[in-house]
Amino acid sequence: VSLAESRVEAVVGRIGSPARSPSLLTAATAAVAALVVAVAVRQGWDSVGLDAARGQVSTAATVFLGIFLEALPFLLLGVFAAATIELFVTDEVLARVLPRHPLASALVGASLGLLFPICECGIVAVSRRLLAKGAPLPLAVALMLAAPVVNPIVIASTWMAFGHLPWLVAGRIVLVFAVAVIVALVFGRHQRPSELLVAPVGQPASAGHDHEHGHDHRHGRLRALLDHANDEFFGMVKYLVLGALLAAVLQTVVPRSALLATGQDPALSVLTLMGLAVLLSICSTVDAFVALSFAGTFSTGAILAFLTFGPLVDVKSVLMYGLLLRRRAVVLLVLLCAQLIYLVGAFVNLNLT
Amino acid sequence: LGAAARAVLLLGLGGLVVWNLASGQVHLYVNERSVWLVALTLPFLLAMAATAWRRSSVGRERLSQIAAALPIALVLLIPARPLGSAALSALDAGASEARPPAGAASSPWPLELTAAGGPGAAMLTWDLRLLERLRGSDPEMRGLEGAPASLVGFVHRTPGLPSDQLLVGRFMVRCCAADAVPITFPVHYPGAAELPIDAWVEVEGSIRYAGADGVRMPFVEASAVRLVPQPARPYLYP
Repeated sequence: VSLAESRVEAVVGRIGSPARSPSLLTAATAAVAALVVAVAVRQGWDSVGLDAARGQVSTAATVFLGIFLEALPFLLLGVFAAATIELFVTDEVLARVLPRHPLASALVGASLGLLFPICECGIVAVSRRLLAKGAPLPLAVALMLAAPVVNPIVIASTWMAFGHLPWLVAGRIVLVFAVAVIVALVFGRHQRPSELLVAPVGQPASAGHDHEHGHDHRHGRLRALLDHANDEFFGMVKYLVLGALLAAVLQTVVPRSALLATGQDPALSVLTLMGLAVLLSICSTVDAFVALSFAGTFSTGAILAFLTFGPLVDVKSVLMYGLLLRRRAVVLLVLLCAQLIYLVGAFVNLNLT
Repeated sequence: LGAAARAVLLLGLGGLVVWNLASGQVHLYVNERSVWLVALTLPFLLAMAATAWRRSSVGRERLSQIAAALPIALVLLIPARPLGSAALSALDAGASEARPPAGAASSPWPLELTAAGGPGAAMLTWDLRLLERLRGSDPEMRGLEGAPASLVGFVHRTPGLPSDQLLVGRFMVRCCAADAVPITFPVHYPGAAELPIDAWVEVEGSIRYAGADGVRMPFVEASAVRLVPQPARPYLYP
């Protein structure tokens, strides 16, 4: 009966909202017009006589779509996980389960990636949602930083690539875990944590979302889940797209060979591969294989820095951190991570290899 | 309009996924192992689209809408192409020169083939993947003199390359186009200058060595070069 009622309610809902039809019609008309223009531009693409520029634009577009299509499933996984937490995990349960002590919460946050195997494209949504539900700031920050590496998929892929150097595999996991905990503790010691956070962190990521007017839960939990996921998705997608676009353009205009010359310098090589990790913005599930291709050219400390700094800080993740943290806090996070990783990378080069 | 725009954009992204899967263009962007993940996004995008337009209102989110529209616009505006000569120039081929460390567990090549004059080298027909694997374990790529080669890749030319030479290139993709690593192999062919950049070719020939001062570089002495259609899967996968 309830199913039938909900269907009737859904139909009535559609009939009872005449104002929405013109909006949909307008949007559909705009989409069709854009499609017609696009087809015309596409057909003229090959007749333009700018070969080099066209080649670079094509390359950037291919790299951008590669990053976007690869990240889209993980972004959706993240927003649906966040929506599930919002709907099905109460504040009381979280308050009862999660530790409040800064060190304990940072340690738990840095370990939660083992349960949420979500890479950097999706974990920010989960961290935001946990924070909004009352989780301690150190836990959310540690989860956001550690989960892209301290998760079973990435550990396995790192082992596949560097199984012949077990200490490097362990070093990657331990270093990211340690950096995540240290940064989380620094943030946790702030006198007024709210000053570190963006104002509406308690709401889904979509700007201006109002839980009261945007949707309600009368149509059932599935509808509410989709509505929450919708808000999260439109809040996060701009950071993914901007990050992917920036990474694609940088990859196209900055030649890698300009960076490879510093390969064996104990200090410069670390800085170079840290910069390259930011530039490439490769998903942490596969960056180990890319690092493998640098292994004969670059120092071991630099490889470790590439494997650890990239998942912590890259073009798209820095933009996404802006959903949780104020700009100053993001800068602090980036500087802290960069200093720690650089010091460890240089130490490895000078003392252990 | 915000709610309707969301619905249209989500449908558009769903359409982008369907188009890429149906046309096979998805292989220009991601490793074939990731295709099922891309397909998995479709029901989620469509489910969100189905409920999005019924929302009474959403907040101001023009930037989000433009961002969501960008991938759709790029697919519509720019003809899909695999990474080719322009990308190779941008990446500068430096990564393909990198070697795994000696004894790397990932090095799949049988040891006997890496030694000079190793048995069996002349029995194989060498393609770009095999050559790259050998280069991974033996940077000098010894023992291939006279071995038959059959390379399929796009035509690439660097500044200053003699008119009777070309590079046959292909990209190795582990995850997506962002981590593509270029592989190139030099070919000697009198008609090289007539081959258009980025055209896909199949080169048949045998491997020779050239060089001076003790440095010997392998290349393919082409006996036949013919234009071929772009492969359905233009990248190599490890």
